[in-house]
Amino acid sequence: MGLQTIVDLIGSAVIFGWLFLITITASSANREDFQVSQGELLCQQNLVELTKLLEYDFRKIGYCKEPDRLPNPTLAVLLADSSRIKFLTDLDLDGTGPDGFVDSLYYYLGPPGVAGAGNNPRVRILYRVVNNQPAAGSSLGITNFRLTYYTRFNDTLVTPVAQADLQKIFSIQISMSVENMIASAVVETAPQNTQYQSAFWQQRRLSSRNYQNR
Amino acid sequence: MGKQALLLVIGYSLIFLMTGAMMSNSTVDAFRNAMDYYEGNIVRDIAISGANMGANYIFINRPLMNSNPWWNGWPSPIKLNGGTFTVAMDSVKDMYGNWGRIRMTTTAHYDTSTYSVTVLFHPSQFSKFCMYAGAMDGVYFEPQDSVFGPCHIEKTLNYGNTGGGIMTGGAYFGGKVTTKNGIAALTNPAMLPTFAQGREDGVSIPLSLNTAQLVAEAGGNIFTGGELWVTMKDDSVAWKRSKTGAVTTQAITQIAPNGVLAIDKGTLYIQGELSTRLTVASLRTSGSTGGTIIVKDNVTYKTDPRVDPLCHAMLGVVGYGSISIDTTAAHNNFTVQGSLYSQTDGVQVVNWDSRPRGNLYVLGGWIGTQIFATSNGTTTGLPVNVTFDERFRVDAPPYFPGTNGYEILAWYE
Repeated sequence: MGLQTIVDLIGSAVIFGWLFLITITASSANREDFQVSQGELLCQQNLVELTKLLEYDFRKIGYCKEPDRLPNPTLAVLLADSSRIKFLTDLDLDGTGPDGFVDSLYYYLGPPGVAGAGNNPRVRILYRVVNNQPAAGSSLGITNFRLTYYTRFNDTLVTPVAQADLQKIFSIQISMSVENMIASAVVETAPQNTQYQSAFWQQRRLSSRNYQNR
Repeated sequence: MGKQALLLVIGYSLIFLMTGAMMSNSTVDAFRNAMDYYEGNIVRDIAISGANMGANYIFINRPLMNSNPWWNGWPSPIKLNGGTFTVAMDSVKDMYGNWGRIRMTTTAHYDTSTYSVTVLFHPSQFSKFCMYAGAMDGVYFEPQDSVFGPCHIEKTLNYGNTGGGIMTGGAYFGGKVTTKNGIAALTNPAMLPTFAQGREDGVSIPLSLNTAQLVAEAGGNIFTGGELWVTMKDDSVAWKRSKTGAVTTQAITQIAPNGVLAIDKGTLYIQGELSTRLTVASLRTSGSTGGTIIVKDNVTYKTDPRVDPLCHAMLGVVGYGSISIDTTAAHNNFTVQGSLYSQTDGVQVVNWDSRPRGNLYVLGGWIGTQIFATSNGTTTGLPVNVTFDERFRVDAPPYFPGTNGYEILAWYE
């Protein structure tokens, strides 16, 4: 084995090492990008699902298939606060459509930190309570759920809305933030929260048509 | 460069292709997610637009009202904003089995999405008003006045403080208020009333008494001329033709099978307690006399509908002329439960400016051409407390006068 062979071997090793490092780096970067991308996708999907659920329910405030059982829809909101609301509606409980009996629906946001929800300390549970059933909620990464109430004249109502003012609610602004429950990458240095993908959604003025019936 | 280098290049290419494909999938899924939501909004907007157009057609053409033909909706797809919608119509019963309601279902399609909106209508009746006045000539809503229900003034809503002094607040309207000619202050500055459920001007809903229909529904049992004294007793009535006449007691289903007990060109006196649905009417089919009603004593339901959800009793008091509260002077707290309708006059308290002071509690509605004073504000008469019977938002006494239009009861999407 001559000098030329040794130089070739050394050169090959260097080139191999260089290529190997490139491969590892590229693979790592790609994996991180993929995780970030997947995280954003999950985040947006969760947000859309939550949005659809909220819009579906909130648009039925004051609705009853048999209006005689809920003659005044403006009395349908029973409780209105910045992150919780309770109202009367007629829910499709068995998949066959509304049954014509008045149900109550209560949304409220739980405290931060959800067991089994990954490592994001800000994630909460948005509870949805039907009638007097046990509280059930989903942890789709919601970190913020804020409700603002407006009168017919677009005046903001102070929360919690006083009992005497509940009838003045005409439209509701819903703001919601969703973050990934699991960080997309481990960051050793603070702030670690930069690695949680987040998405924000706001329904500017959601008003149930049944408010305007009469 | 040998085979190994070629393999290396191919390997790298494969890795990058796979990574690129995965990244691309994520992007495509995110885009699809956003598009799904967008499509959902578009198809919903199309459905709501279709429902609004259908509702507009119903409001204008009023199917099955005043001999108008039925409307079948728009069964053929109508193009709108890149999608289509159809409108289907059917008539439905209320929870008591009565016909008269209309259900309109609008179904929209956009790409692969479908969305439906179901709207329930019913004929609008004047009993939906807590307070209705054809005019407020010389009458004003004062600061201490409040109306907790829908209110309509067919001319100008007057407000002010006839007693003078410092005003700390205006009148309070807890329900939606509509007027034809807007509002006017008696004196300036005057405190603007509070319209908690909003106010809409330019709305005209003239009184409309369908005398022929009430005569037809009263059938062969209609009384003509003179007096008719009626005392309601649960689901029957005791009636006589004069104050001292012989009393006849009959079940309401017998004397008023369609729920309408009427006298034409006479005076109707009423009192008693009711446990079923009934409209008592004093009509004037011709001539210049009769059509008046005098409430002689309390008129109540057997159970209070505000606390008894099973109370289905419902009373309509319909007069061509005035409806007078004429009680004995010793009877200071007086209760009328029902919707009071006067086509050409209003509700009046006899001797309001001289009789001892008391209270008049009304649960229902107060509908008339004019609003009259019922007390002098301090020492005589019967200050009025009108509480709206919430059931009247969606239901009405039998054949109560209608507004000749439909209104929306429920909107489901």
